[in-house]
Amino acid sequence: MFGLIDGSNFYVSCERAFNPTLNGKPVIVLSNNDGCAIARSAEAKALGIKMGEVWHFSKRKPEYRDVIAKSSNYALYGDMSRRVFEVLSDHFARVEPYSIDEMFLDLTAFARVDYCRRVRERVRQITKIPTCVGIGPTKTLAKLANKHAKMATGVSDFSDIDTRREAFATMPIDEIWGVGRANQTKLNDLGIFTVEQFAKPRAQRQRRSWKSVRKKEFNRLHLARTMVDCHRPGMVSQTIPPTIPATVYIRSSSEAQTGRDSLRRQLEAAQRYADEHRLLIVETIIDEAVSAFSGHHLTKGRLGQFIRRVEDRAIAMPHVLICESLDRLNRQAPLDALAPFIGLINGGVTLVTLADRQRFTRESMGEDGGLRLLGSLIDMFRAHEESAIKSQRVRAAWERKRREADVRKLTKTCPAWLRLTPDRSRFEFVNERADIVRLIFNETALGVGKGSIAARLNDAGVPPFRGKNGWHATYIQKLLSSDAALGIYQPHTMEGGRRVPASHLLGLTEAAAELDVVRGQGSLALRRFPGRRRAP
Amino acid sequence: MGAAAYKGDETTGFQSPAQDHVEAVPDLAELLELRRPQRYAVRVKGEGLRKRGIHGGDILVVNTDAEPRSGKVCVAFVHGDVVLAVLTERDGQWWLEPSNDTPHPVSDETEVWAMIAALVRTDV
Repeated sequence: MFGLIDGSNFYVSCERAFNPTLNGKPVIVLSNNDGCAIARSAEAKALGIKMGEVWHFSKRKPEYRDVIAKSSNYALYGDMSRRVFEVLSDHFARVEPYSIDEMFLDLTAFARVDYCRRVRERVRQITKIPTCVGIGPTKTLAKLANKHAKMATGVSDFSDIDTRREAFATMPIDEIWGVGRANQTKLNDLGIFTVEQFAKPRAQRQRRSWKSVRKKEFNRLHLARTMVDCHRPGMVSQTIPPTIPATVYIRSSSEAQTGRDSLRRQLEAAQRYADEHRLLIVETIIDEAVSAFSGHHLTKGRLGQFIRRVEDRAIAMPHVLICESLDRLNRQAPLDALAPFIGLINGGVTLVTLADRQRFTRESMGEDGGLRLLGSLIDMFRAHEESAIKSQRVRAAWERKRREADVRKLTKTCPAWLRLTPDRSRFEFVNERADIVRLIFNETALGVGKGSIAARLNDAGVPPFRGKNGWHATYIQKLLSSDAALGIYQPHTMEGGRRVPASHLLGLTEAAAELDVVRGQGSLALRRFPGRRRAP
Repeated sequence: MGAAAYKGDETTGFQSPAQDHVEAVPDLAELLELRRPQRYAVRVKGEGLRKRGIHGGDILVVNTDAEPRSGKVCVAFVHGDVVLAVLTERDGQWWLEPSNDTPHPVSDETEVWAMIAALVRTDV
């Protein structure tokens, strides 16, 4: 269930909050440079001042004699909007600012009308801003109910079908979110004036005449209509969000991890947990290729930002942080790891680990005299140690592979015209492919363009190295510019976060010598005639 | 310049014995709870409430959500003016006593806007 709360004549109300002389008088707030009226008190509206009315044209009208015009003060309005948001955040699990003076509320877990009335009074007390609340099973209906509330008692509940039916009979269609002035005219031409008529076009005849509305607009209107006319039970349940907001934190420390299963697995597990526990995932933080071992994800990554937001109380509580395990959150030395962990828990966040299905909250930490805290500390310690060992092992394994590179090749990965011999001792040619590579280099040296080469190969029916779509100029370009054809393969090590070339070049040298391509000439020709050029 | 925050852990000569004890600069916004929505900072004009220790130019932190209490100073709207007044209760009737004016009964014509919660004086 949704609520929409909005400040009545918001800018005017902000001015009135601090200036009692404005009460009961026609007051307007002007746009930048005092051009147009952009907010009007009820008294000003009663005088007939229009939204956006150009004030210097009309201010001399005698009936506007007593109007008080204020220049806009956005610093004030922004601050008051913040105050309204914060009061609401103390009362609802989820508040979604829609504009400076409108905020959607998640009302799923609340007794609606009475609670909304109470909150409305709190907002009035604390910020001095009068508000109206609309309630509905969809946001469109909540917005519509909000319009209705302005004319009624300040709170309208459109989840109640009778209230809704009664209101729809008289509400004009332009109050509907998504029906603008142009559509209003067209719909009026079709005889549709009220929300009731809009929500249920009664006769088939009417439905057909809708088709005179353009297709795109029809779809938009149809959507608006579905949101207004939500009698079907499925529709309603789909639009009700779960109660408690949650953030998922996923960290993958290398690209290979990210690319494959790890990310998807973590996400799926988080979604499953959220569904089971009626949590709404509002944010997914993915720290890619940031290592938790060094603590970089806390200083550089987005988890650090999240922790800061918790500390600044920028996140409404209750809030759940879902991560796979404590070691996903942190593999630093345990003492450093504890601080952010405690920070999150102290900030009111409920931390959930999926691997062992643990929930950590401020309350639960105190329950058993710190035993669980000790448990988490041990987990973190283990994670750190594992990382340290793994880091050592991986480095050692690659060292060994490089030393043995001349005997056993590091990997099967190699250019398309080579393959690894079964004993893994060297690369050998795939003869017909090597011929093609030679051909490409030679043609290029003669000044034939990449596109032409690709076309010739395709004409000759030569199968491409990869894929089914034939040869393409970009692949030829890649081949020509790659160092692989010259037999250069440069391994790297990572030192302090930078790529550093390792001491020696490895791999394909002998194969390249055999290939005997004239890359120098080829690229020279390319450079000299950068445009289209055909062979003589 | 943008000097980095001093944490005491990056000395070039001797390790600072205070390294683990360096604290953040006191955050007055935190102390005065200025981030809470019911807290407003207002500046005092005039010397009317000197006897209550409130001088002109002082910054008052007021709370729009505080319980009204007899004898406490509040910000009030009285006949279209914003004034500081002492709120008092006598025989079930609440009164606003501005310094320079006769007491007003709290009624529809007046409004207790906020109670004073803290005072900041910048020129002592």
